[in-house]
Amino acid sequence: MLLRILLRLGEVQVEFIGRFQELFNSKSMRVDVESETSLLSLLKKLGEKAGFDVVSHFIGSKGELMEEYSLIILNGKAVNLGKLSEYVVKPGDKVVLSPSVAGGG
Amino acid sequence: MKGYAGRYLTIDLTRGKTVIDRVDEYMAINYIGGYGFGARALYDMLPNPAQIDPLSPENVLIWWTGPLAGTISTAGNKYSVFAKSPLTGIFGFGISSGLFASELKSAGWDGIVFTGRSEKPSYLMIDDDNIELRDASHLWGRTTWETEEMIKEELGDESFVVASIGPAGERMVKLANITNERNRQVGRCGLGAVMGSKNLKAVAVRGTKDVEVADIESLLKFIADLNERCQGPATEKYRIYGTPANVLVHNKLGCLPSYNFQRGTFEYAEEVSGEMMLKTHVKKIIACAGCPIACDHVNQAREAYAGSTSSVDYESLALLGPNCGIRSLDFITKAVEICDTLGVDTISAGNVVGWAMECYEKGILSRDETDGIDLRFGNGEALLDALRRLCLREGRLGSLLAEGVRRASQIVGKGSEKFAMHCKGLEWAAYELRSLQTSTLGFAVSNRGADYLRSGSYQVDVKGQVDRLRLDRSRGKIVYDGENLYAIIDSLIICKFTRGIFKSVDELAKLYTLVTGLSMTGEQIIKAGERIHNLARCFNIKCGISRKDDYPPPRAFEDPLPDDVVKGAVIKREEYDEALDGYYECRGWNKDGIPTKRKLLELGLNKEAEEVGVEA
Repeated sequence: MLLRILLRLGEVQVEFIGRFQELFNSKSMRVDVESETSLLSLLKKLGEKAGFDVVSHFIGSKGELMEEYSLIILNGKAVNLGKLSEYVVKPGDKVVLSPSVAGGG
Repeated sequence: MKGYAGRYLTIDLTRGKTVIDRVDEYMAINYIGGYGFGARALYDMLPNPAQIDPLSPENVLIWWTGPLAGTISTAGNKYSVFAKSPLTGIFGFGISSGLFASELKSAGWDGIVFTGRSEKPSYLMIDDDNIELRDASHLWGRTTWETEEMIKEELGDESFVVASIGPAGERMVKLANITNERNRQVGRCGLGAVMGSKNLKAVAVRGTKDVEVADIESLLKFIADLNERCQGPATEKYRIYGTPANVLVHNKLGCLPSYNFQRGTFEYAEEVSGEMMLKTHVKKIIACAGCPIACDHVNQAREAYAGSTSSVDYESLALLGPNCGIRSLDFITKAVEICDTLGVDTISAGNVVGWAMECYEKGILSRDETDGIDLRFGNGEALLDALRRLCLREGRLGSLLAEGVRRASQIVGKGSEKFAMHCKGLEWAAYELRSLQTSTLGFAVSNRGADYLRSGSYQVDVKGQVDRLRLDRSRGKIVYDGENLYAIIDSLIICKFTRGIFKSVDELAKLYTLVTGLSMTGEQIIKAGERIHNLARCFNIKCGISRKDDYPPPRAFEDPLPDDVVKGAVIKREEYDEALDGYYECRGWNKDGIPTKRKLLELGLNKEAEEVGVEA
């Protein structure tokens, strides 16, 4: 704990919905972050922990936004996938990874 | 021109006469099909709609396919039905999927127009060119599922596709729908009641003809590409969980309506989620004709309702579940089955029962007025009982709910109008109003009433592209663009679940041209969308619609959301007014929401400019 405080680490709670539950084989995960980090960095860290490329579920190989596929909610707010590096995540924040909203047949 | 059959039937039910009319190139290019054809026909056939009782023989009932039905086009086998709505008193419109559209086109017909009223219960049989109005006295009182089976047996061929009404339509319940192939519905606006008012129990169709397309080689190549895209990420959500995948994400965003829209989250969301449903209740997953996605998740209930089956989508689930405080997938599955077999729209039904539950809990409806039902939120048996009564217009409660939430709240009064969740008389669908405010603008300005299917404007809210808890003038343009695009999607008629696979509107135009042989650019087809939307608005203007009707219900402005994730969210009236002004400006309408002559003339709607248009 002392080391965590010295390194100013804390936990971000990440919840998974739909296929993300299957991909992570879990409903949620806690990730250690520094006092402030970008959402993009968090996703990369999550990928390292899980062993697969998490970012590719949100940003395609050609840089295209995968908005029809996936969405992220940060503390109850929907995230603009085009600005992942601009969102700041802090210890205690809640992040949700989900398939995008479907509807309107 | 190809794709179209080039002709449609007009059936005078009063006289039993049939007339065949042509669909010409002018109609095709300017109005495309489906929504466009329906708007054109409704405007022309009901020149004074304000004077028409929707349940009288003077109303018309119009069925149209689109140019893609019956071809190999991806997810294009849909049909649409139109009338002046008995629920809303304005432009009534619904779309269904399945095999009906392709069968009708293969029989050689683009559409059917019903006028008048049959003297006795009847059903229409279309067997290619053999058209017969047959006695349906023995079918009256039967459920939609029974009707379908009995007609097939009577006609001696399983390949007939049947669209029918249930007892609710016969009793002219204002929420009555039309069902084909058990689980597919023309759900909204009470068009099943119009069918019932005409003594028309069903339409059965069998077709054996080929539907020709203009450029088969290029079309095959394009469709192969589209079908491959349909297996990609844009449609994955529909394939795996179906639309119930929305439950948990809506809950996280605070936009899952619960307890008659008093809240935007549901504490038991996990128990009724798409994830849970797939694990415990989904019996099979099926697809409409020509659809590579297969989104339809058919549930089988357990325990007390074992044996009950129904196709449960997000809207049905959310309105009959969380909106009524119900946390059991068994009750929800059974509730949908009751609605489907007796023939009412699940969205409107879940909405109006949720309203009645709030009335009951607030002491506005007494136990006497609910026919002895303990209509508390969360009481599953009470939900099922109320639904049965609604469908059959049974007792005081059934007679009240059968009128829809607007009329029911006017009858009951005592402030219940303030939490009657509708716009223009159409019950609000399962998108919370205060936490998805661009979506709310889109719902409220829609031609059909509170409509989740006409602009897709919720997308900018849930994609974080705007502040979804605020409104501003720029939202008008978002709704405007969405409506014009969706007018085309609903005229072609293709499934909106494929919208993510088209790279641009030019590809929609390309699809149209490859099928029909009629040259069309993306710009032209979007202009047709704008024309169609304006035409339907002109019909509504004649029915008395104006700015005053383009607002969400009072709860959106007066009751802040209590849920943590969106705590305090409410629509500010001045922001809504500003967004509405922005929308009218994009549309070329005046401040009161009336299309200007200039805009209508620009769209080639000359007659409408004369009859409805105003100076700027």
